[in-house]
Amino acid sequence: MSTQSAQSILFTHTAPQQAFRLLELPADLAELLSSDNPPTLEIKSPAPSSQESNPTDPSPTDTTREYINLCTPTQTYRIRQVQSSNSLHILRPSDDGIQRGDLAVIGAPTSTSTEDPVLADLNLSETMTTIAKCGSTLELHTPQEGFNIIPILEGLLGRYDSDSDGKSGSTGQERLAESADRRRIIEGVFTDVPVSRMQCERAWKEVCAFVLPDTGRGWMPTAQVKIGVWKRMVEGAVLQGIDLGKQFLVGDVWKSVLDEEGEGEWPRELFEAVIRRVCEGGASIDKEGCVRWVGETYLEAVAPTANAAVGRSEFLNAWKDHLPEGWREQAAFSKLTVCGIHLVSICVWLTEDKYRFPDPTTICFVNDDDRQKLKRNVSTDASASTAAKKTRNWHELFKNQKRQKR
Amino acid sequence: MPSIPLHPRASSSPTRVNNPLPQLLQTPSGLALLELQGTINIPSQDNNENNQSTTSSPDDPRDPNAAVFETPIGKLMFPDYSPQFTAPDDTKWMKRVYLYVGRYQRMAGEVKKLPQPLALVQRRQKESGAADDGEELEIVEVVKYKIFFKSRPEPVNDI
Repeated sequence: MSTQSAQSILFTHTAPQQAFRLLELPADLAELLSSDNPPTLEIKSPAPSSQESNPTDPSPTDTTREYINLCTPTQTYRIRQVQSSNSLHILRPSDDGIQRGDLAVIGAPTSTSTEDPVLADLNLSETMTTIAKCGSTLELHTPQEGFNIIPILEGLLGRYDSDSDGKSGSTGQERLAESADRRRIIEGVFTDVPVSRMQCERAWKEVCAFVLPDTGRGWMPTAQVKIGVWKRMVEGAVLQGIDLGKQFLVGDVWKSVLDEEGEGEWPRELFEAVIRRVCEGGASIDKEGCVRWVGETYLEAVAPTANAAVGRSEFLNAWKDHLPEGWREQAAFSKLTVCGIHLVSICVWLTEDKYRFPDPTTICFVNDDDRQKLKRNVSTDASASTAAKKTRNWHELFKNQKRQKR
Repeated sequence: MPSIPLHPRASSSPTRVNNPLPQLLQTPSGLALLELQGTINIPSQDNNENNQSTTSSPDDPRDPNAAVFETPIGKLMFPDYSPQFTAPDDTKWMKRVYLYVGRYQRMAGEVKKLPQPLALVQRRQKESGAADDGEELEIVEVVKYKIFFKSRPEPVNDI
């Protein structure tokens, strides 16, 4: 009989059991971990305080609260715990094959004589023992709507607006000594932003965040400040004969925005943050991205809500006025809507009241949160109405919840 | 909330113990995964003291003095596998695994490749004396196969 000759492994249970978690690895993560020098991953969740103190988002939706993310240096996965009715045991080989109290329960003789043929046949020196039992696994997934972290970042940074006084930048000598401080402050902020390092850095750059070591914290300029810095840069460049379309030295442009006494209206850190935002790596401005950014930022500054909507042609002219001379023709509404990430960045409001607004169409800025809502509304309106009709139907309810999550 | 580091490798290398499992199921750490429907009921330690062998496991870094009990449950068998004769690319043996529980019950299962590899994550053990600056986790092993028993035990003769 084959079972007789086959190898038998004694199976035991070890007490006390150990605590393990089972984490399902998507292919890309498995590959990363099996590489020669795998990076340390991070498990991050949003800081509870940042959610509460966030004035722009008083009612966070279910998807933005209470979650745990697993982050590689470049990617973020949301962790979901999945219960299993099966039990998963973690086994390890045991070298403890000699003194066993009661092997009778499994059919081995109680006398542990090595001459015993049955015991010898069972080869009981080979043992696997269960050291842990898991009733659930952790699944990783990437939410389709992405990770909207800018509101979180906003909660962690100070709001830098145009009247912010006494937050002057620092001189060259100080800057060198403060770079460690600066790093530490940024690290502190990133710890509380529950996405990967790369995504944190991208968002940091996206919002033109900067650190003023004197204040010991990070700052995020308002749209008004950002567009003000940019406008000044364009004007300064014209005066100094710097072509923003070509490579330039950041120091030259900085000098061009200083007044006669060599004083800047803003800290140099802020100025550099704006430069970083419009330069896609290297020392030249990414024209396409910059034109879009100027349009969006200007709109956010002058027409942040539907109530403050501005006329379209009025906006278009102002947009052009904020661009270097040679770029004026680049400003077009298609630029605002076609761009990749900012799919619904601009909402054009048609107003019936032509008397109040001579221009029949006005335009206003739609912030990230509202963009998410707009996107979600389109897809969930239909399902929500059916759910309302059949609220007693457990399965229907569950199905819709699942759909909304995606 | 602070971020918790998850180290991609275990900090301590496991003690080498002869691994009786088929080659395919062996991992560097020796850890393997067994899934079964239902649970294994182990009598609580108090009323089971007489039946257990007591060893202090030297490879448990948590508390070297803590008693570790091993309770025999049954036997694990790979009837179609032979370390000498089964070719490495032969997978037929995976179709049949037996787990004998006690003397008269047997579960039939198989070895399955996991749809996604599973990382076994554990809290990283701190060296004694090291400053306790928060929790750290580590991936002790990544397993790609599991021994899977999906059916209920069937009665068998004492073998």
